[in-house]
Amino acid sequence: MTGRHASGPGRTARPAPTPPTARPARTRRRPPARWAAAAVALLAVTGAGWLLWTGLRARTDLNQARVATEQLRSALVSGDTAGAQRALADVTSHADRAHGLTTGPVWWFAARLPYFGNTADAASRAATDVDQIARDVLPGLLDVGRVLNPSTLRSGSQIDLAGISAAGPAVTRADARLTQARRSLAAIDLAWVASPVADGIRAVQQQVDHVQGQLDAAATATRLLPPMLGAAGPRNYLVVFQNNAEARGTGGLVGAFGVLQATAGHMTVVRLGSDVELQSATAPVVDLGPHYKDLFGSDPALWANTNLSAHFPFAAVQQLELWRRQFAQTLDGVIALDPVALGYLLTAAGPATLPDGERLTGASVADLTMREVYSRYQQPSQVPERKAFLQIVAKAALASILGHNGRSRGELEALGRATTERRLLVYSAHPAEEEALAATPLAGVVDAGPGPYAGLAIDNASGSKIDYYLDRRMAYALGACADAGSSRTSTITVTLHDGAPASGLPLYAAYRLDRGAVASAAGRGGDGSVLETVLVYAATGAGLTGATLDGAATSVTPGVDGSSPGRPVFVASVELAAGQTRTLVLNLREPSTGLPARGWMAALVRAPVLELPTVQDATCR
Amino acid sequence: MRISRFVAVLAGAGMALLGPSAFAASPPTAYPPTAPTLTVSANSVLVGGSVSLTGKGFLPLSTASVTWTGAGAQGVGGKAFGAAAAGFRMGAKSLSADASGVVNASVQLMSVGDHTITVAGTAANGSAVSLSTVVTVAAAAAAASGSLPHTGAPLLEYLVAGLVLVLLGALVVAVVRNRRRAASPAAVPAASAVKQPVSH
Repeated sequence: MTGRHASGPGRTARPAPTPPTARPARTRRRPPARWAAAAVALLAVTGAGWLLWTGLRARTDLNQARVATEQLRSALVSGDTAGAQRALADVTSHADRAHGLTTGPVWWFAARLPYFGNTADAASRAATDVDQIARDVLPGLLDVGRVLNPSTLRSGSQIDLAGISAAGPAVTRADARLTQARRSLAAIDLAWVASPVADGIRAVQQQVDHVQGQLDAAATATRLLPPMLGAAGPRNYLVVFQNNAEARGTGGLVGAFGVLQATAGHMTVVRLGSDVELQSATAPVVDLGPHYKDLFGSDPALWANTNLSAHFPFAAVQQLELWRRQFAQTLDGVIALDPVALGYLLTAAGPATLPDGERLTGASVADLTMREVYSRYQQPSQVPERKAFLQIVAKAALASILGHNGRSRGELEALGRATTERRLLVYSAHPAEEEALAATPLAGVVDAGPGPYAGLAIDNASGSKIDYYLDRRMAYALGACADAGSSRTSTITVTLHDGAPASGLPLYAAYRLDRGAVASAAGRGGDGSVLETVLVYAATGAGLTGATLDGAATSVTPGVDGSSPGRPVFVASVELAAGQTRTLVLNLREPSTGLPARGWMAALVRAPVLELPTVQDATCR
Repeated sequence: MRISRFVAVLAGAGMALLGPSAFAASPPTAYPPTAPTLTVSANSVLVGGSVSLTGKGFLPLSTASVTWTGAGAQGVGGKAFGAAAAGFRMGAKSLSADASGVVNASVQLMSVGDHTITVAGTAANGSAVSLSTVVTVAAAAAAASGSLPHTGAPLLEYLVAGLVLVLLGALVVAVVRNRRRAASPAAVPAASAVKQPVSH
């Protein structure tokens, strides 16, 4: 930018002092022209040097502000008010300095240069926005942190609902101010901005988005927690433990269950049972519309099939209705939890001890309840013992989690992790609450919103526990634009690997009931193979142009699923042998929206790998 | 109850406890769940494109039919067998289920819009069965004009711009040198003659 700066004025300055007269005269008058050129060049070089020097220092300050913001966030989560105060002072001073460094005449002038000015302009505006956030938003966050202090929020199984309600206004204020700053940051034009500056601004935007996400969550929590935890009368929730070893759309098969009662913030488990106590129906008990019926038929009449769709509210309403029919009790909602999430919570709360003295730790509970238990109780005649054992485990784990009195920071983090991994799902039967929940990942909603989208859920069609060993990878890529930029191609590649041993599996874990009855050799299976029904959720408006399985053309079932009016889902049957890896590729044509891509995978035991396109890929121009 | 039934079957001994109703399975309700039975090769094609359909669970060697209704260019629905109905041609010659109860069909779609294709026939248990799917047909010209997404990496532009600036700078240096030479007594008159008009 400096070169252009220097050359422009240099050239225009040249003609003016050159007189059209004789040679000697011209020789005498040459120096002023050179001086002018040299002066302009010097000015330009100094200006460029100033920009570079201040720009680099501002970048350091902005980076330090970002680090301090992270410290502030972590201090707030842990209830460390003094630490939060220090971090806030840090953020403010760095942001203020970055703002000061990127303002002034040189920056003002540089921002007005064509093309190259964009970089200076963007850097200066980002510094201003960060400064604004540090001065207007973060102190408000500190207020929120004071009231919503995790270490005083809970004592034992009692949650401080009054404290939560009191934090509401402060959260809403901070949220509104951050939204403003975030809009201003998002409005910065990153075209023609040098990549280091553009990347820096994107990092700031990401961090602000992150903080905003947490503030939104805090705002939702202050609104929802008091009524949902029984501030205005007792609430009863069905708690279902999903067994990820047998995959279902929302995670895993419903195993043990409980009823959690919340009265004025006090939580108690009033009942624990196993799925053998739950009575299924002969036909689906809730009409979820023709699209749902097309996909799942009348299979959802069974408790084991209430959660075939990945849309958690569909599972919850059917479970609540089955419960109402059996127990003549209308519950207020459903909380689904899996053993891995239980492990996270146990790690935070500390290990539990089973009545026989066996220790239950965060690291052991998933393996114990989803693999080991089938080895311990191998005989079909031991099923009641196995169910009883799982109930004992659930009881001990819940007692440890609800009864523990330590700092809640680890638990909040455990809950947060379980939520992002879709291992903790919550449905409220009260429509206003469910509407607020639906905006959060807790709700497990498959929404019908626009934009690039890829979701993966699996229903085990063999009736086995092989999904304990299943590895999943989903790569979503956006391709060429078409129709004058209104649509584009895309590809969703799903890779499944069955890591089960080919022999030595407990009888109960290795059934192939899709091949035959339990009494037949085919139905008993035992070779670690599995038949999976794979559900791939795609962008609204997406159509399938072709599909392959391991490179060969294959056919799949198109359907519509999720909250009304639903989004496209493509269902494929994929059979896996022990140790086998198979790759399903869906070639799609979808609307081009310019929105960022979203993606998720239902929770199983092993952590999945998800690859999403970047924001830049999302634009068709 | 079905879950209980399943467990009971496994337990072998528990059957009596659960009562006879547990065994009166209505066929469509199943544990483990069954996958949908009609699959397609695509549900979004260009005009003139074909879709293959596979329906499972039919009575082996029974006859089946494929029908379509669609908001296509012709705006009419109806049976489309053998000969081309308006804007619609059958690709498959025969529509009977094979020995394992699978029906295969291939249809070529000749009009823009949404087409509902239904495969109907007799299910393995003798009851009537009808499976349908919607295929969207787009105009052929639409997808022809493809362009790559904007990748938004301004670094290359910067390099090019930087190069231009360096060249400009070199030009300025050259001009100044020329003038200096022109200004010195040793310079050729031609040089000043060239410069002269520029100076005005």
